[in-house]
Amino acid sequence: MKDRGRVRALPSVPTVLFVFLFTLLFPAMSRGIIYIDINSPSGIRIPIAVPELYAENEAGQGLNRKIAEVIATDLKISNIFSVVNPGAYLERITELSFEAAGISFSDWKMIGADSLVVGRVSANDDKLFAELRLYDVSTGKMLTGKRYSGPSLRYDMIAHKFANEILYQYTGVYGVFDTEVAFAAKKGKGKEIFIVDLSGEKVRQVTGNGSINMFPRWSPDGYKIAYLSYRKKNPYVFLRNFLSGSDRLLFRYGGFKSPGSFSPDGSSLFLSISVKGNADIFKFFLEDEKLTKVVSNHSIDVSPSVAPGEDKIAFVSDRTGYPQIYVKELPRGPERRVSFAGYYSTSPTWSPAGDRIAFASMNEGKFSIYTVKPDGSDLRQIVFADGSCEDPSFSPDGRYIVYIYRKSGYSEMRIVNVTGFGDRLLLKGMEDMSSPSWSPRR
Amino acid sequence: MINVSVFAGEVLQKDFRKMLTVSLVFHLLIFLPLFVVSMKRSTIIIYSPVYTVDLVEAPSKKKRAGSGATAAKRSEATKKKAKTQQRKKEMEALQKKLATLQKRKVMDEQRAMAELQARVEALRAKKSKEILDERVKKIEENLKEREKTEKLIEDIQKKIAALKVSRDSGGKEAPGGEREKKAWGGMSGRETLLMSPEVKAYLNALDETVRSAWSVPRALLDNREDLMVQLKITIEEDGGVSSIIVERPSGKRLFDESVLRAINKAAPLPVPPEPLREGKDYYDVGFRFHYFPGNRNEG
Repeated sequence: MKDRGRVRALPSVPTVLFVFLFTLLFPAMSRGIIYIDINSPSGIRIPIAVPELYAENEAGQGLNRKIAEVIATDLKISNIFSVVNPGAYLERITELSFEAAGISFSDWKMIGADSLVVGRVSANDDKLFAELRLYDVSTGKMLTGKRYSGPSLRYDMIAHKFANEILYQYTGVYGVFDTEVAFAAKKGKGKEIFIVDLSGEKVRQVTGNGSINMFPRWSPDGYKIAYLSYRKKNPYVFLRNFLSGSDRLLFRYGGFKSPGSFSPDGSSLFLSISVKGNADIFKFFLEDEKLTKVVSNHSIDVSPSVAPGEDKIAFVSDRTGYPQIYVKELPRGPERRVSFAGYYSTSPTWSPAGDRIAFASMNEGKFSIYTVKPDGSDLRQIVFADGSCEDPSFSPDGRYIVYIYRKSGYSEMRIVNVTGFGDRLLLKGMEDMSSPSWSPRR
Repeated sequence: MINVSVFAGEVLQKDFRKMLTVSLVFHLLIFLPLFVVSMKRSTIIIYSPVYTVDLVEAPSKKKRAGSGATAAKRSEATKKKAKTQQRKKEMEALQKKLATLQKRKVMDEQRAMAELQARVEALRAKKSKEILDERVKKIEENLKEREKTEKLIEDIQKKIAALKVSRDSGGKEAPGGEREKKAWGGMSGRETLLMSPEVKAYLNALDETVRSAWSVPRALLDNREDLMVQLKITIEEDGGVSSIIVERPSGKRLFDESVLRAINKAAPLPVPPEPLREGKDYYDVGFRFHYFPGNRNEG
């Protein structure tokens, strides 16, 4: 009895065998799933529709179209979106669009839009109120919605802000459409500092002294620009403050100097100063006007750019005979060469995330833009052109690089994605443009 | 003696059962994982529809030099073109040959008939048995030659048909073709199902619908990485998508999201045909979305 009970407790041999064989046979009986390979997307940008906003009152007329236009331009500039041709839109935004089920998403889907911007605007006493919403067309879900109010004249800022929101919804990083680029360009006999917005249409002149002004560098708060000027005959560094309107002489020590970059907290400026024919890199404290040496030796060291964490600094040195990019760990770490692209490398600049350094390097007689990791690995050429591409500067979101394209006396400012995709013109028509500097977010 | 042997037998039987069970458990432990792996592998059938290459815009500016990649692409395209042209030429030549052979066949027949009649008349005239035998032999030879010609014609027709099929399915150089074959290995039932025109047309329609809804913001993707997302969706009888399961994400959130957007945008999808649904009111199908970094200067 005892034995039998124990044998029964175990599964009988035929049962085990049957289960075993069945499991072995099972795969052959199971149903296969077909997987379809899709190799090429039909689009390389997200299609978005930006119809005219609904104007809630008379004063809102005109603004409704302008705001939509600015948003559309911003999204086109981003290279991430393509704006569906407004001529194809099947419906207009009306009062009803803001009621439940007031938007016929199938109409927007039919014209190929992935997402849709719906907005209304009203204005009174030079003040404007705008409500903007972003919808996912296929699900009809509102991704984000914002209400803005501000001076009617600054309708473009409201549009930029919402375009930044749209980018955030799709990429997790806010856009940079309300930022600007400062640069130097020839005007009359001298060279002046200018600022251009990202549409490339609004150019403002910052200096107007008829002398030579160069190397504009933004403070981290985005309200000051340090630059080099010969307006007092010798090359001095000046600081222009856009909030107070002041323009003061910051620094006169030494011979030729070039402002490199502000420290991340804005309290000091890294710059190169030439003393008795040898250029070294210094840190200038704005508060107490103190100067400390950062990189110093017998070779020429210029163009400093400090890392976002202020733990490293990139600069150009000719210690091997030709100018190359070096990275030094601050305050007194080793200095290591990171540029191995061409025989002449210059203009290093850190990405806002601190993960890469962009620079210009000469190959076959012309400069091109490269990026490299701060340890010198993973070198990538970003632009390929038949002219010289110089003076790179990162956008504050780290996605774009602005640079100067030159060919036999002609120059223009261009923007390219850090991936090398979507190279496009920002500004042309000015003479001898140089040293662009992308403003931080404000 | 008997007692001892019975006792020994009992012990043996017990031990044997124990050993057998232990052995079975042991084997199951080894074979079960193998089975799971084999089942996983066997349930994947890759369908690679006709591969199309999107035409690349010309570089935006004359002054911008095109990169080597464009040239490579172009040369690939010309190669492809040359191949198609070659195939076309081949077919034309075969068709010409067929026409001449057919002509010859008709002429042969006419000649044979004429000869036959002449011989018959000659026979009637001569009525000689020897001559008759000779004629019969000649006629037989003629007939043999005709059969040969007919066979040749048949062969050529078959060849043309094969060429047509290969052209219609996008040519032999369609990538994925080999993978397809491998994945189908030992699944002749599925293969025949996939080869059915109804199913093929449906899968192509599915591919077209989803692909045309798919946009990838290339500006956000690294130019050096190949990306792939594998997902499984359930299509209802009305074409609605009731579930999306991402089986293998690409590791890039933006890329995965673009794929999900594409499915949502493409819905409702073409209604699955009965042979695929197999009596159910839904159909499970998988997609593998690939991204191959392209030419930098493009766009």
